[in-house]
Amino acid sequence: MHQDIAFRTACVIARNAADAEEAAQDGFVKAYRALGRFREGAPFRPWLLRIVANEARNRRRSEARQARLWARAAEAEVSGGAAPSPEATVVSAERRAELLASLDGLRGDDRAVLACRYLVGLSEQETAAALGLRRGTVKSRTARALSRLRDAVGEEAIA
Amino acid sequence: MTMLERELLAVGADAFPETPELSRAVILRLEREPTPTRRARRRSMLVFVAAALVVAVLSAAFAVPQARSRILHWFGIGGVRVVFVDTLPVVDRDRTPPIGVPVSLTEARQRVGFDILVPGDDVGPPDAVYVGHFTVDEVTLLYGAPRQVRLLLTEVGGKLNLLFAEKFVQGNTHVRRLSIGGRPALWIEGAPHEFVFLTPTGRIASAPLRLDKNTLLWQRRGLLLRLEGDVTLAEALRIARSLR
Repeated sequence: MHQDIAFRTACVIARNAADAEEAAQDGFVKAYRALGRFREGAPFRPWLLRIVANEARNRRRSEARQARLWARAAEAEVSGGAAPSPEATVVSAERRAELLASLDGLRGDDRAVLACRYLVGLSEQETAAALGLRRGTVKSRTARALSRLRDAVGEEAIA
Repeated sequence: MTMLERELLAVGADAFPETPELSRAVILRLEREPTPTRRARRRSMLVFVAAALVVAVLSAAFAVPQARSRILHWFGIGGVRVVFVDTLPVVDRDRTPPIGVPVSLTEARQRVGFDILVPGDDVGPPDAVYVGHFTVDEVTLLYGAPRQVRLLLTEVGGKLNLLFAEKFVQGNTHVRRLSIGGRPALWIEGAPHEFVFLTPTGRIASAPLRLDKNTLLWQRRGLLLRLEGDVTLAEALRIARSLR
C-alpha cells in the first residue's frame, strides 16, 4: 500500500535505487517507532513520507555518484499487456525517454516537484511533506517546472 | 490538465525501478533491534495491538511475524488467514492490551470514515466503544466490561482476504467457510483459538480480550466485521443480520 509510494518518493530524493531502498526501510522502521508522536486523525501518508524523505535526503550522494534513476524506464520498450482505454494517454518509448531525459535536465527542485506530483502521483500536501515545502510553494513550483519542462521537450500534439 | 501533465502521469510508475520487497526487512528489524525508549516501546505495542486483526508466524518458511498487522497494512496486506497448528504458541497472558481509544459512539461516528453498524434491539448499543489508536478506520464495540467481555464487534474498512494474515487455530478447532450476503465469511469455534501478537521485542503475547471466543468474520458495505463472543453460529448470524 505505502511501500511503492515510499520507495518511489525516496528514489526522487536519493536519485539512487539502493539508497532509496535503505531510506524507505529506515523510514518505515522509524515511523513505526514514532507512532506515538503521530497526531491521531492527521493524514498518515504525508507524515510517513516526511520521515522517508528525510532518510533519503540523509543518503543523497553527490550528483556525480548518482545513478541515472530513469535509465530503466527510458530504455524499456513500451510494455505489452492490456490495451489502453481510448481516452488514456499513450506515451511511446521514445517520448518517455525524451520526457525523462528532459526531467533529468531540470534543476533539482523542479525535477523533484514534478516527479513527486506526476511520476509518484503524490498530492500537493504529500509533495509538500516529502520535499519540506509549503503547499503554496509546491503549487507555484510545479507550474514553473512544468513551464520549463515544456520549453525543454515541447508539447506533443494529441495523437 | 495539459497534455504534458497527462504524459507525465502516463509515464508514472514506469519511471522507477521495481519496488523491492521491504516488509520482511522492516519487520525483522523491528523484531531484532531494540526499541530506543521504554515509552516508545509501550506506545508501539499499544498501537499495533489496537490495530491488530491478527497474528504471528508459523515457521521459518513464513518467517515474517505477521502480528504487526499495522505494518503489514502499510505494505498492503490485510485480512485474515487461518492457520492450523498442533500446539498454540506459548503466550504471555499477563498483558492486557487495550483495543483502542475509548470514545462515545457519537464521537466514534465522527472519527471513522464509514457508517458504524450497530446490532439491533436484542443486543442494542454497546457498553463501550473504541477507535483504533493509530488509524481512525477501525472501531470496536464492546459489550460487557473491559475485563469481562461478552461480545466484541470490530469493524474495519477492508476486505476479508483468506490468503493473508493469520490466526492461530488448533487442529480441533472448527472452522467453517460461509457465505454471508454473497461474500466469503468464516466461522471459527470450538477449542480455544487465540489472537496472538508479537511484541516489539519479539515476544509472543496474547490479546486477552480476544481469547477463547467463537468468532465470525464477514464483510458488509466495504467493511470487514469481526464478531467475537460466547455465541453460537446461529446467534452470531442473527446479530450479523441485525446490524444497522
